[in-house]
Amino acid sequence: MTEERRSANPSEQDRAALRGWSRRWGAQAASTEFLGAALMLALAFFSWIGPTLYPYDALAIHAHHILSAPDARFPFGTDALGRDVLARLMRGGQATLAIAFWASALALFTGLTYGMVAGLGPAWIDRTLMRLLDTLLAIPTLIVMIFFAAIVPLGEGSLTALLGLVSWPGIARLARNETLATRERDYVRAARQFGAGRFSIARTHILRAMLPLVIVNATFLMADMILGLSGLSFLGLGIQPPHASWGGLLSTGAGLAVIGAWWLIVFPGLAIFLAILAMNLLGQGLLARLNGEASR
Amino acid sequence: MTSELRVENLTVEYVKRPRLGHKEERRHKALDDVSFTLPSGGTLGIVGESGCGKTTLGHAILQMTPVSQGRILWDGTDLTKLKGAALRPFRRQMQLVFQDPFEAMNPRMTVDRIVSEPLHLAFGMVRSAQRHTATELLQQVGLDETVLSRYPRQLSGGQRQRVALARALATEPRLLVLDEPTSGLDASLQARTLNLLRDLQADKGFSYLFISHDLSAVAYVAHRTLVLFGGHVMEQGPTATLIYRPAHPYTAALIAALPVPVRKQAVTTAQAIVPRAGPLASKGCIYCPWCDKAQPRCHLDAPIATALDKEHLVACHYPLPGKP
Repeated sequence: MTEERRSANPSEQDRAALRGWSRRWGAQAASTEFLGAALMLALAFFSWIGPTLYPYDALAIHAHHILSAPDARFPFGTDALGRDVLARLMRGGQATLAIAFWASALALFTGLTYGMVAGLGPAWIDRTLMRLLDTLLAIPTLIVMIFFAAIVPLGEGSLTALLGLVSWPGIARLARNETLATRERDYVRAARQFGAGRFSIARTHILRAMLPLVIVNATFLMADMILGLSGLSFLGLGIQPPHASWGGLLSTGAGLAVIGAWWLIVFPGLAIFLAILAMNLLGQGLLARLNGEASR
Repeated sequence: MTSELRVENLTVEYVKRPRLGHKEERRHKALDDVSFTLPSGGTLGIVGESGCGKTTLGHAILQMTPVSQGRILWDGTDLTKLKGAALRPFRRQMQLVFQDPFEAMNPRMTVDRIVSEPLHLAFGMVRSAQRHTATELLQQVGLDETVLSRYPRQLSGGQRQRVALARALATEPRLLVLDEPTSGLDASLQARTLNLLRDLQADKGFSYLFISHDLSAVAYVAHRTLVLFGGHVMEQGPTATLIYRPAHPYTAALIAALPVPVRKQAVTTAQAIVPRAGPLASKGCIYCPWCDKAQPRCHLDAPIATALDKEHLVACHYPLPGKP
């Protein structure tokens, strides 16, 4: 009997099996944030573990192989000085990803703190901080960066601080608006009635309400930082040669690509593209999950 | 200790700052000269139509909205004189059950977290104790621990109302301000909620300030009732007196608007409530533009609250004759 029934309706069995499988693996593997995280992890692995597995050094010059196209020996080709592009891409990834990550973290932390203090504090603090912010926003960031780049020795640490410190005012404004909107919600008024102070409200309710804002902005910030670093490199203010960054590789390669060295821009471009894609996928996925959790 | 609430001449005025090009600032009195007493363990019903100042009254008592004039005495302490940290211990003694329980809960917190928040804030309870007490509180309002891990959106309207109530009970208050506790519920849930409130009061001796536009719900739970119109007290007294022998034309109109079963045994003056249009009267009795008993005098001077008997106050020049 059971045998008969089973064979009579095999497709339903298959479907049930497939459903079970997709619940266990498929749904998770297909989820956007998982893809983004996996891609980010792969890029981090490429940048930090890659150099230990790969035979060539990022700074080693192969004088007989100047501008050689990708082949079996140099899979991503070599640059104008005969340095291996794959090795430079790996080392460049370390600088690029680390700076982008920490600069974004710095910008988020500063922006959120500033915004919450303005939004939760008394009116005169809010007014003072916001006028100060307007002033800061009126100064073109590129000028500030060029100015500081001229007086501070350029290294990973100073670049991180520089990028982080010019990026937070926008976040601060968003955070302050979100704080003002949230603090009038009934659940915050209820918390006040339980005896919650400003700090407790900020930690329990305002931060929770700002989670979507944080996720979206972390995503965009990381992408902005990678591009910003490339822009600085283009002006000669980024990671200083002979050290590599993805943006730097791209900007030095741009001049040579027009004479046919396509590998000098395709691979760094791909790396930047993948990193930004990974961050966007991660942010999108987390946001969708969060909204699914919070909405009806 | 008698935790008596005494409100004296409470006035809440909202001032709109003059905008560019407008010289005068605009003022709106949400509450005008409201006085009443709520004895410990009693229930005072606040009745009136939308926008009459019911919610403002609740918020003013809980110091959630600034008071322009008057005093709010809680055990003899004037709350309007206190600020910040000095007010905190008093805040815990009086809790508000919000009109919309969904809006009053953080959508990103589970019921466990929601009910635990006041436990942490008021008593500094640690996480494990919070969970235990939260479960007890939920049981008091007739919910079991399965709701602990849910988010507000996963609860039904009745469950949300109960969670909101459980949370308000967490700080061990002595006064609960219930702002339209039954407005979002269907008839059977309304009855269950009202019974729950009565049981809790009998059990713990809470005082209730029961704000509602639903006179029949108020009649069921309130010992005394206060009728508000346009921020003014029209009439106050024992609930039964108000329902069976209303002295103010507005109270009579409210009762007349009740569904038939209650109306049959109650009243008399059949005048449906006219929807309020246009501004309130600036001179004379605030209700006179809608009043069918209005006399020339009503348009000129505003009546002051006068006692018909010991408990029964009415602000009307020509109170309706009480039917025995």
